[in-house]
Amino acid sequence: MSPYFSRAGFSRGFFEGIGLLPGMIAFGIVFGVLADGVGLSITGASAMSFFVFAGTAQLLALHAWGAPDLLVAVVVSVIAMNARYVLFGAAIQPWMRGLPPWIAYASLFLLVDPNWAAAMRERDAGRHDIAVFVGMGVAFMIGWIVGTAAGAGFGPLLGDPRRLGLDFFLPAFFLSLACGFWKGRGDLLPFAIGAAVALVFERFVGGSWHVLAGGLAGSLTAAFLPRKAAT
Amino acid sequence: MSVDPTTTSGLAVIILAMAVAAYLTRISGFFLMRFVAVTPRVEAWLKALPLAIMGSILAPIAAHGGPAEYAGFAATIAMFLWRRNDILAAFAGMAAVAVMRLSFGF
Repeated sequence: MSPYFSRAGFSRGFFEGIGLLPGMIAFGIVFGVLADGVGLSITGASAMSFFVFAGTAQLLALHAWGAPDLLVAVVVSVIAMNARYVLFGAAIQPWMRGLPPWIAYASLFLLVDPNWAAAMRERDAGRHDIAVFVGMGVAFMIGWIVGTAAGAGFGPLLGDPRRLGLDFFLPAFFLSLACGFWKGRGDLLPFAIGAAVALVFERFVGGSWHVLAGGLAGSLTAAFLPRKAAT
Repeated sequence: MSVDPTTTSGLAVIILAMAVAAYLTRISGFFLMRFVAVTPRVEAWLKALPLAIMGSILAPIAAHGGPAEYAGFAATIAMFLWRRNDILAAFAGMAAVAVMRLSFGF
């Protein structure tokens, strides 16, 4: 089936994204407050959020703000934190195969964790409406920038967003998606290997390389082990 | 090469460098897959990828978490099993964490 864009798909993705906005805005506020702390203006922080659009990478970059080789430090921060997107892009490619390249490459600018997971859910359900992915990405972009601007503007007045559990929204969303992906005991293997390898990498390597390492280890084990046993 | 992030042009250079790096991570896997045939094994790999990624993201959070996070995980799973709705389940998890942190200070 070839991929397509529909208005209905866009609104479905967009409104699903709106449902996740509290977490996204809270995350944006955290970034905005910290950006304000290193001396970024509202405009500067918002511009970074728009063009980079990667929360953990931007947070790590702020940690490097005093470094003498700042340019190298921020690029390394982004690559370390976003390395998992290389895998995400690889997984999403067959789903988008057949789409005009400029639409595919423009859509990928909006690639973040939740809309990638939603795209995988659509793929598994046999649906190829790319607009779901884009609509959700647009909703996140709005929430991310609103949160950033609010955080940089008057974040210090808001108190700690952690108190309200807002930082837990994204992990909870991932867990609920994982429950949806769960089809049987065979799914334990990629999940468990991924988790174990991630813990080792998180402990000894840092950055967010653990997501890349765990994701590769878990998925490759699942792809190779059962077939080897069968043949 | 040193740039001064307190000037507008310096900040623009830094944001541009970060933006290019971020966009490259988003498109490189997609680009490389154009040269890979989707064999059954590649398909099995891509199918297993979401759960492997989710395990990798959740494991450190679980390892560093306390009672609040565990209550959040439990509430998320319970709500998902009950209503089969991703977002509702995420809200339940967040609410459980908030209740634990606000009332017990975890």
